[in-house]
Amino acid sequence: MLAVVDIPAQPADPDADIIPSLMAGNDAALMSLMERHLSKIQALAYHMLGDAFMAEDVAQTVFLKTWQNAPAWVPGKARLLTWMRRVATNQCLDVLKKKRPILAETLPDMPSERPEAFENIVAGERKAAVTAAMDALPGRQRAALSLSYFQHVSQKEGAEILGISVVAYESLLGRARKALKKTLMLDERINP
Amino acid sequence: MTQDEFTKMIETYGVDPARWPADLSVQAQMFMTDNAQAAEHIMKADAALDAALNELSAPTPSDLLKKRILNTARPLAKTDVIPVRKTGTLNWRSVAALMLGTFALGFGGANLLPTNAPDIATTYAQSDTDWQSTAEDLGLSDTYAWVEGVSVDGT
Repeated sequence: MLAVVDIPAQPADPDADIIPSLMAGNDAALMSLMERHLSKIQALAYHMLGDAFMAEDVAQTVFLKTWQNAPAWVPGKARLLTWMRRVATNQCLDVLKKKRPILAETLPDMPSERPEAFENIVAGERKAAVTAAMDALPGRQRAALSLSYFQHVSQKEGAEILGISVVAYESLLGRARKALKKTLMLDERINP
Repeated sequence: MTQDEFTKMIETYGVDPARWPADLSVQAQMFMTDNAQAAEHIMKADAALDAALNELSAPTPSDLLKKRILNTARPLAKTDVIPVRKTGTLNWRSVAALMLGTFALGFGGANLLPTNAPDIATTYAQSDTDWQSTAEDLGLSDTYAWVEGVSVDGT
């Protein structure tokens, strides 16, 4: 079923110039689309899934869906990149629903009597600690954080991608950041 | 902007002004100027979180991924598959014509089967081949491919 997403009219689409060629099945237009957005879509999937290989699979799916659905694209109704981000986000949320929870062993060892502050963890383990903390977030919180922090989307666009209000989107963001600060023991107000 | 509003914004968006909502950015900057010490205290934990999140740099897409996308997309070019129907309705006339022709051929063919006809599975397998041939003969290859979910060359 074509995903002509019900998103309110957007400002001018920066990809408007290649959409006609995409709709006509032009390979060069697909290459151009990849040059513009493959990094962003893969990065979104990477930050949502924490796995480079799965991120590539999601990115491939998003671009193929874009390619297949291009003939029925309605210009002016939504920005192409917003639509692609929405497809990527939904794809990742589906993956996360099926993913098994991360085992505690993936977190760096910390003495139980005196948990070590994040800033004291050696650099090589910090990425693993942050990845594990992100993995522990509920899917929609992780999606909101990935869109806002890593993709730099506006709160309006982020809310539209997730199909929620701006207030609900900001609530997801706040809860995600609070959970991460707690997990990483960054906030003395939460972890005195 | 009050201290509570500033705190809530920092806890939602982090400490980088580039990520702050456009309608709050100016007020937040003014709060920081007027309340430097309080702002620094409020921002401390989220500054540390932002630094931690910045450790998660995404890998660059490989050339292999681009080739995979192109190689998978090319066989799906619009000349090879039935385009998505904008109206969302089926071309019932073509499907009906195919079914009618198939039924006629199948019925006529069945009457020619020997009394010791092969089992049903084999008969259906033969019928599948017959339907494709019938579709081709009637100039309905594209419709057959759409119904069966295959490309015109049968893959």
